[in-house]
Amino acid sequence: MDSRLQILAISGAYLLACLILGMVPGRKSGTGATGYVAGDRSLGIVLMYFITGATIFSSFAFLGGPGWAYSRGAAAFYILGYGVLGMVPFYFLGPRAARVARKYGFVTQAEMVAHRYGSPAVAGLMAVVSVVAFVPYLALQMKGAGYVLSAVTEGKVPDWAGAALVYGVVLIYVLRSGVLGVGWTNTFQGIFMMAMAWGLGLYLPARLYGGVGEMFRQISEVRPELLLAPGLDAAGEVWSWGEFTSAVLVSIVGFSAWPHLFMKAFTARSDRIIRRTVLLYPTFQIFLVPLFFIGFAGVLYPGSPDSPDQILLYMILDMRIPAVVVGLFCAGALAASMSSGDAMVHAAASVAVRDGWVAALGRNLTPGKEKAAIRWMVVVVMGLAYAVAVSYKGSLVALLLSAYGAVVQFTPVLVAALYIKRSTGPGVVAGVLAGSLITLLFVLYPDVRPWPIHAGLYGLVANVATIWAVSMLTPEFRSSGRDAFLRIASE
Amino acid sequence: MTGVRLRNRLYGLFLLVCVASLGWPIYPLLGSRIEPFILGVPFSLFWMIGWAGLSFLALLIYDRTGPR
Repeated sequence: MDSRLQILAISGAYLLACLILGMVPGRKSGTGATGYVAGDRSLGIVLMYFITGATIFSSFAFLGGPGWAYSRGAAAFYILGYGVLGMVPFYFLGPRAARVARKYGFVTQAEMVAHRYGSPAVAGLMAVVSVVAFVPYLALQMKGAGYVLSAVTEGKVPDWAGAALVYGVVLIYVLRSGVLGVGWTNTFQGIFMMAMAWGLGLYLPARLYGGVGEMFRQISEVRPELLLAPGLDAAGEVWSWGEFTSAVLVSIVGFSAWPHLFMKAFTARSDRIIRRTVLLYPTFQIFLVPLFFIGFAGVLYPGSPDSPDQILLYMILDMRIPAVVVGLFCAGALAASMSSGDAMVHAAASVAVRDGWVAALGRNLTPGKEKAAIRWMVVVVMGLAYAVAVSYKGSLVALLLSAYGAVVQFTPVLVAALYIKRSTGPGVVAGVLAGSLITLLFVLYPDVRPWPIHAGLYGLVANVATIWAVSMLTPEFRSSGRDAFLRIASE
Repeated sequence: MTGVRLRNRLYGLFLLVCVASLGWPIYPLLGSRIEPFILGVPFSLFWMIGWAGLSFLALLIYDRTGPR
């Protein structure tokens, strides 16, 4: 059989398997938003582990991770570094949020915050920021999937068709099965992704250098600067410790505030399961190590791809390895893209309806209508992201960085809502606005930063200071509801 | 009560040291070097993997010594 057909057949079989797996749980979830968005709060440890882990590992990890190691060396270790503590805030915030959510019926983080402060404006603001952040993020995943399919078929399947095919599958199972569809497929995709990463991560160094140790020994002789932190910046100069350290810090703080992750606190069967998910997370994190091996394997490889992100594909296609292996790799890359994309589209649609429509604008819907509205939003968000993916020619990464900077600002809000009695609604609204604007300013104009550290860190400092100052200046929100909320959270 | 407080303090201290080791100042001071190679990887990479392991152990102990 033609090798291109073999690759396509494997990818097709993989997509079909995901589709079937994603369709199965559709019949099991209850009616209404709690079933569709929070899986009736019934998820056990296996689904929780993979739903969070596989969601985090996106196209960026699978293609960007090797790309960073290849072009920037030890700078890539920062991705591993923030993962060391990135889930720890969730260990403390997650169970608290889950307790109040069980009591009041929340399925998103913004409606929880809005309820705590009696402030629909908070929900509206968080909904807008989340959806604006998700669209470029999702578009990036779609581009990743389209790019992989077009590269392995040498352009026979164009980018737009590949992305449409892959995300057509995602659309079907997210529509039908909601969060359970995301959970079941992510379990399968997570296992597949890990196997592919370790397989390729050990295979490429062994085949090219005779082993991982020998590969690093050779790199240390020819390009030792790549193995020393903080590595190199995008231009190939030595990166600064300030940038490296602040990037780690901002990511640790902001990591668990992403709605598609944080909302999973509301899907867990018990607090115990949330804690255990965080505890087990480093086992998923270690899966970055073989991805770095792949990138380092490219360092002394003759020739170079057009952009560093393409190093993995470049080597695989250039080395003429068996089509079956290329097909499996291709499926692995699709797994990385789909397992993040499905959670994003699901979260964005849920947030738009629950936080935007219901909480912020005060339109109450019956459970059945709400579920239907979220499903319509899934289609809308998917269409929007697809339009961005195929038409936007500028840098999606810059768009994503700005959006990411805003989402990171949710963490102080969540901490304030769940822990700090004296914080007020106007305080958190002002905090998010101040933090997002400062971050955006420094992302767009990095040269005006007082010190060369991550833009998000300035935003976080401004955010915390603003929440504190404005909360002190505005009257305390006294209500029996608030006291009950905080008591339930800390039980 | 004092036991719980001690546990929280110790874990807080661990978090501080851990954060300081994932970047400036401890990583450049102790971790960012090529030799010795451990399990085939340069020490700078092993350092990060090691902290992932330590962080797991610390949270495990924190979790196991908690109430219930």
